[in-house]
Amino acid sequence: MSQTKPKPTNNHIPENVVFNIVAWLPVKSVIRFRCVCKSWDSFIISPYFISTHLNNNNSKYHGCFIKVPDSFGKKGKVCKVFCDRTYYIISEYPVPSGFDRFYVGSTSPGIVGGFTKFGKPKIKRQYAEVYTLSSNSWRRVEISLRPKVRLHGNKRISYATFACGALHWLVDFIEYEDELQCETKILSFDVYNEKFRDIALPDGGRRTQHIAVFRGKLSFITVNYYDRYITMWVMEEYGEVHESWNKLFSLVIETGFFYGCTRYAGLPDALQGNSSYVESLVLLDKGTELSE
Amino acid sequence: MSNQSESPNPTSSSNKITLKTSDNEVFEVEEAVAMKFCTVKQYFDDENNNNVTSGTSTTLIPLPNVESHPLAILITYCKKHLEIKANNADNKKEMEIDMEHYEREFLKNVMPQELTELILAANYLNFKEALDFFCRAVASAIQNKSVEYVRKFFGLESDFKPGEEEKLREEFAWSFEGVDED
Repeated sequence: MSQTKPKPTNNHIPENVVFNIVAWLPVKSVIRFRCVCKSWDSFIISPYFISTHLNNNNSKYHGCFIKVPDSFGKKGKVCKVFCDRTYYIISEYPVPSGFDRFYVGSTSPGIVGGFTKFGKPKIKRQYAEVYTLSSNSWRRVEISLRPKVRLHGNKRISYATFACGALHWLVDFIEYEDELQCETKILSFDVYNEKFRDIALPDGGRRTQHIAVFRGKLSFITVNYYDRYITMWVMEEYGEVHESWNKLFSLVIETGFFYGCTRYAGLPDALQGNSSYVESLVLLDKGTELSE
Repeated sequence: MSNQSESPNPTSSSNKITLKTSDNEVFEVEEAVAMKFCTVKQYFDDENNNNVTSGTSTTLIPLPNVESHPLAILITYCKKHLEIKANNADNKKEMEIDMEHYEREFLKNVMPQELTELILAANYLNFKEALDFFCRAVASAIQNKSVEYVRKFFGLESDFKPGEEEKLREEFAWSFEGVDED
């Protein structure tokens, strides 16, 4: 029993309690308090703290969004990461060159961001480069899945959906050399252990597909533009089996665009054609989401 | 079943457990209350496993790391916690609202120095709900404070090499805006 006893700090508040207290602080305070001392700085940027902080603050709203420069791929351009609502700049990072597509995701506390760029699908080995805010650096992480991966979206920039501790993209897994023979799945990147994996979809139909966060859970949406309705599935037990997808509803929508879900109501104003503000999802294809 | 049986009844047939603090005060609490203190529960379980328990319904448990003052407050908090839970057994949302209301009132009567004392006691007793609550309370008390204030509060000193702290401050300058005066 004595083995688990925490070591007391100077005024006898044990380290585990200090950790617990800091994990309840808002992002801004957490970042400021990295300056308290070395041990605070190192536990605050640890994956364990980040995931604890994320869980604690899931019910509150903390998020960040990313502004991408207009002309992409040129040298000297930076992406800016903002804290939501306060619009404080959390970080700026240089845009790497040598890639024709750039995919950005964010974890919500804004302490660590998993920003990835993917190599071209023609390249033999698939890998992503992960940018970590806390260390201000890029690292290469291999995608250990056999088939080639092609990300959805035909714009140069797309976004990742953060849910349950992982970033998610809709991707085609390309079998053989024929790019038309592919299976659409969700590619996830666990920010805690930095592992890629794939999640099968409930419906592989040919309609427009989105992934989003619905009440903290990973959800999958298909949009039928022609008949203007959307169908939503939610993954009840994250990362478990295919059967875990639960079809929530089908709904007729006013306009044909789906952006994401709000944290509270589930369905956003975006469905009414007002896409100015979307919670939980990082929108990058326009620059207009910054104003509320 | 009458309505009466649904409300918590202190004279019910449940076992009493006696807790003895470091300043030699003795508290007799209901088993349900004592079982929220995981350290006590653990002690109890160990005793049972060792077949030491006698036939009596009262067990005395020494708490050498807890003083009577915080323990009395924790017992009150725990009783209220159980009561609110019992009253809203089928409505989680109502329960949370009641609990929040109680906790807000509770904090009005707690001095900042007491909070540290309560945290240490709750941590020793491994009373998770209370510990989380007190940690949240401390967090909201320090969230707008300066780095210097927080160091003092936790009795810490900066151990950064020259330049390291300045670099962090520069990099995250935005997080130092709008901080309370010490």
